[in-house]
Amino acid sequence: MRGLARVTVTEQAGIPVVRLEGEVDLSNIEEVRHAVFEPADAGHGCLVVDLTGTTYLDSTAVRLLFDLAVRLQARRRRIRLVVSDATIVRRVLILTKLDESVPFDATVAEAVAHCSDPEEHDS
Amino acid sequence: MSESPTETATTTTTTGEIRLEIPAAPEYLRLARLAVADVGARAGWSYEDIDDLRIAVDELCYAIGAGAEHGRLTLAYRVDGQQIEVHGRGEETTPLAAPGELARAIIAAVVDEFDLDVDALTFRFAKRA
Repeated sequence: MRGLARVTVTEQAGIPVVRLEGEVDLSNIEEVRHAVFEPADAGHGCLVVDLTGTTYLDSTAVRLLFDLAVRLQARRRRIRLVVSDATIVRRVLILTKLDESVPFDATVAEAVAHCSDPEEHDS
Repeated sequence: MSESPTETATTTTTTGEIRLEIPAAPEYLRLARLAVADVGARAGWSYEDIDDLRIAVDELCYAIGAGAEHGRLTLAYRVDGQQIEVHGRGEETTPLAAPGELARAIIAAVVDEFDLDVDALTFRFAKRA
C-alpha cells in the first residue's frame, strides 16, 4: 500500500479486527478499500474497524466506511468502529453523521465485548 | 536531465502569502495539507482549527481536479490578522467528479465561507480563528 496508510487484520475472541493506521485520502483509497473489504467479505458475524491509529481521513474514506456498513448490514452482519476522542477522525465522522448508523467504541476491547454479547445480536 | 514540470512542486513565499504549485495528482494532496497546517501553526491556531484547514484544502483540491493525474494546482495561502484565506486554481486538469453531499457538508462545517467553481477550476475559502 502506498506510503500513508497501513491495514492489518487480527482476531480477538473470534472477532475480526481491521486496524487502519496513518492517513487515508484519495492517493490510497482504492488500496485501503481492497484491504478492508477483503476480510469483511470473507468473514461472518461482527466486524470491528479500529481507527485509533488513523491520523487523517477525507470524504472518500468516509464514503468507504458508509459503503462497508451498508454491505455488512445487507448481509445481516454488524460493524463497530473504534474511534478516539478529540481527534480529526472523530470530528469528520460526526460531521458526516456516520455515528448515527454505526456504533462507536472507545477501545477494541469494548467493541469486541459488544460483538460477543448475544443479547445484541438481534438488536 | 531536465525534470518534467508535471513532477515538480514549488513554493514561493512573499509577505503574508505562501504559494504552492503541485502536480494535480492524489499523492500531492498531503503536501497541500502540510502547507496549510504550517500556515495555521505559524499563526498560532489550535490543533482543531488547523485540522479544519487541512480538511478544507484536501476536499477543495479534490473538487478542482487533484485526482486527475494531469495538470497542476496552484494554491495561495494568505494570513490576514485572525483570518486565513486559501485560493486554489487548477490548470489543465479535470475533476474526477463533482463534490458530493458528504464533501460539501464537511467543507461547510469546517470553514467560515467558501466558493467553489468547478467549471473554472477555482476555489476560495476563509476561516477565522
